[in-house]
Amino acid sequence: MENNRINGSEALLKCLVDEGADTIFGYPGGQIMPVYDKLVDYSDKLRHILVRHEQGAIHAAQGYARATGKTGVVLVTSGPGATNVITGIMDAKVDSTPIVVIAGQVSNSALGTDAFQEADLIGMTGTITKWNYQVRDAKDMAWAVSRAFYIARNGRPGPVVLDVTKDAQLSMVDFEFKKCGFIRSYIPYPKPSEEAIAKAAMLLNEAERPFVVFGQGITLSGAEKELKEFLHKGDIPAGSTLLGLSALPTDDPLFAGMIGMHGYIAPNIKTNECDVLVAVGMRFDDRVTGTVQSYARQAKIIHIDIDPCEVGKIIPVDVGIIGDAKAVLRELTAKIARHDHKEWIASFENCLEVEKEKVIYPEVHPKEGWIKMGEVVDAVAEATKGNAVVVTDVGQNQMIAARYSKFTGGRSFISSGGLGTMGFGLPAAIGAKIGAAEKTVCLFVGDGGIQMTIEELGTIMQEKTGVKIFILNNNWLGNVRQWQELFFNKRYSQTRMQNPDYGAIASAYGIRCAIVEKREDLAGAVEEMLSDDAPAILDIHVEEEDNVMPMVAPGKPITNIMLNGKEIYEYGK
Amino acid sequence: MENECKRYSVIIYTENQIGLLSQFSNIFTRRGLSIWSLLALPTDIPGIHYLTIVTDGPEKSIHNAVLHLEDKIDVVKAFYYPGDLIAAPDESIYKLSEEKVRDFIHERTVEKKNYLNNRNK
Repeated sequence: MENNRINGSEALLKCLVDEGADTIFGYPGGQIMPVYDKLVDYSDKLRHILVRHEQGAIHAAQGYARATGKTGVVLVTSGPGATNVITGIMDAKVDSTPIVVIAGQVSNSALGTDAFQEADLIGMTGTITKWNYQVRDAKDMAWAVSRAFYIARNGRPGPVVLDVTKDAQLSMVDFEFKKCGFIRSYIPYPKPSEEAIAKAAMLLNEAERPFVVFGQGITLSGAEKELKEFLHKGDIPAGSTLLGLSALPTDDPLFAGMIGMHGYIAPNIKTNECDVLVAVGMRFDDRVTGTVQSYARQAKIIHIDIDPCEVGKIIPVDVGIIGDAKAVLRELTAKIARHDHKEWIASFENCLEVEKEKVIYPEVHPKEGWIKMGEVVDAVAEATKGNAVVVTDVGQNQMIAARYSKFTGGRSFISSGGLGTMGFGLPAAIGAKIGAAEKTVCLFVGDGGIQMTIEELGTIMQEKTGVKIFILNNNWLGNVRQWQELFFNKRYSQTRMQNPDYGAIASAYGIRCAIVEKREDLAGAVEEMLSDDAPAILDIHVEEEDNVMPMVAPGKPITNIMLNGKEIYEYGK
Repeated sequence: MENECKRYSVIIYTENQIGLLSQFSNIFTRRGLSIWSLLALPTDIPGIHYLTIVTDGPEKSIHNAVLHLEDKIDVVKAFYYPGDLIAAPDESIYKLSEEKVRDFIHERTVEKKNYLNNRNK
C-alpha cells in the first residue's frame, strides 16, 4: 500500500493513462504547475502538445477526437487559462465532441476570495458542459477522472470540465484506480422501443417516396456500415447534414448530397416531396430546415436519436425512436422489405442537372477570371482521391469545402457546425493530424479565420505537424460580405480585410509556402503541396466577390433556393 | 402543445451536487421562464434530492425545459404538471387559550344537546 501513496497530480496522470489517453493538448500556468511537474515523469506515456493559446488546445483536442473517435484531453491553468477554453467547450457541446478539460484552480482556502487567477469555472461552464466537477481533494481524483471519461465518451458525447484545486493536486492519496462503468442517474444508451421500430418499418414498407437525412450521429455511433445496408435494402436516397458528411461515401449511388442552407438542390427539394422522412442522428438545426412551418409538412416523420431531448424539439414526429443509431438501424434494416424506388431516385437527377448548369460548373470549371474557391476544393479532392481528412474553418471556405470535397471513408470531415467558431480550423487540423498521422489532413481556411488562431503555426513548427493549409484568400470576410451583398443592399460594413504577407509569416515559422494567382498554376501547386508529409501553406488568391451558391435565404422555406444573385430555383418545374 | 401561458409545477429528482441549482435555474432563465417558488428536500434514498419548481410559461417551453433538465447527468427524473392538477394536502395548527377552548367545547356540547332534544321530540 505504501508504494501507492502519491499526490493528486500524479494520481490525475495515472488516471489519464488508465483511461487510455495518450495525448494532451495544453498550456502550463501557475495553478496547474504540480501536474506539469509530474508530467515530466510521464512523458513516455503521455504526449503533451504545447499550443500557443488555450483556445488552440481545445480546438486541437476537438480535431483529435473527431478524427480518431477517442476522447480529447486538455490541460490548462486557472483563471485566463480556463476562460480561454470556454468557446471550445461550447463548440464541443453543440457538436457532441468527447473532451475532458482539466483546469487548475486556486487552493481550497482561496476559493471565492477573488484570488489571483481565480475564475468560477464550475459556475461558468455549468450550462455548456455535459458534466462538470470541482476536485478539492486528491482522494476524489480517481473517481472524478474516471467518471469524466465515462460521461464524455458514452451516449451522446460531450465536453466535461474538471476544476482541480491546488490542494487536490498536492494532497496525498493511496491511489487505486477503478474504472467507472455505471452512473445511477444516467442511461447513456437507452433501449429503443420495439413498438416504435415496428411502426417505423411499417411506414417505410408502405412508402413510395422515402428519404433519409443523416447527421453526425452516424459517425459517433460508428454506424456507417449499418446506414449503407439500411439505405441499399430499402433503396432509399439520403442527404447529409454538414457534420454527417463522410459517413456515407460521396460516390454512393444513393447519396444525394448535403442538405441545408448551402446544400444541394435535390435533397432540399425532395425533403418537401417525400412521403416518409427518416432523420437519423441529426437535430433539425435551423440551417437545415429553413422555416420550420414549411419543412416536410407532407411527410410522415421518423426521428432516430440517442438524445431524448432532440426528438420532437423542432419538428413534430410521427415516430420517435430513442436509441443508438447503430442498434436502431440494424433492427430497422431487419424489419424492412427490399424495395425498388427507381423512379423516385431518378427524379433527383432533374434537380442535379439544373444545379450542375447554374452552380457547379461555373464554380468548379470556370473558363476565365480569377480562381474560384470551388475549383481549389475540387483540385484537392481530385489530388487526394477523396482519401484526405478535410478540416475547415467557418464561413465560405467551410461551405465550399463541404460542397465539393469527396469522401471515401468515415471521420474525414471536421468542421465547427453548431457554433460556427471562426479560428477553429487551424488548431483542429493540427489535432486531427496528430490523431490520424497516417492520413493526409487538408485544411481549408479563409484569410479571416486563419488570423484568429494563426499563432498555432508555432505549434506546427515545434511538433512538425504535417498539416496542408489551403488559404482561400479573397481579402474579405467573405461570408458576411455575401450576406451584406444579398440582404443589406451591398453596404459593406467592416468586412474588407487587408492581409499580411503569409509567405513571410510562414517563412518566420519555417513552414514552406507558395502563392497561387493563376488558374494554370493551381493543379501543379496542389500536387507539390501534397508531395510529402511536411507542413505546407498554399495562399490562393481567389475571386474576391465570389458567393457560395445555391443558398436558402435565412427565414425562407427550404425549397426557396437562390441559384445566384438573380435567379431562384423554380420549384415544381 | 398549447401556447397559452399557464402555471406549472416541475418536479426533479436529482443527485445532490454542488452547482446544480444554478444550472437548473439557467435552464428556465434562458427560455424566459421565471421561477415563482422552489422547494428542495432530501428523499429516503441517500444522496437523492427532490425539488419542486413552480413556474409560468407556454407548455412547449416547459416541456423542452424538462427534457433539458433530464439531460443533466445528475438528474434521475424530471416531469411537470399543470398547476391545476396539483392537489396539496395541508395540515394546520392553531394556538388557542384554554378559556376559548372551554367556551368552544361548551358551545358545541350545548348545540349537540339541543339538536338531540329537538330530534327526539
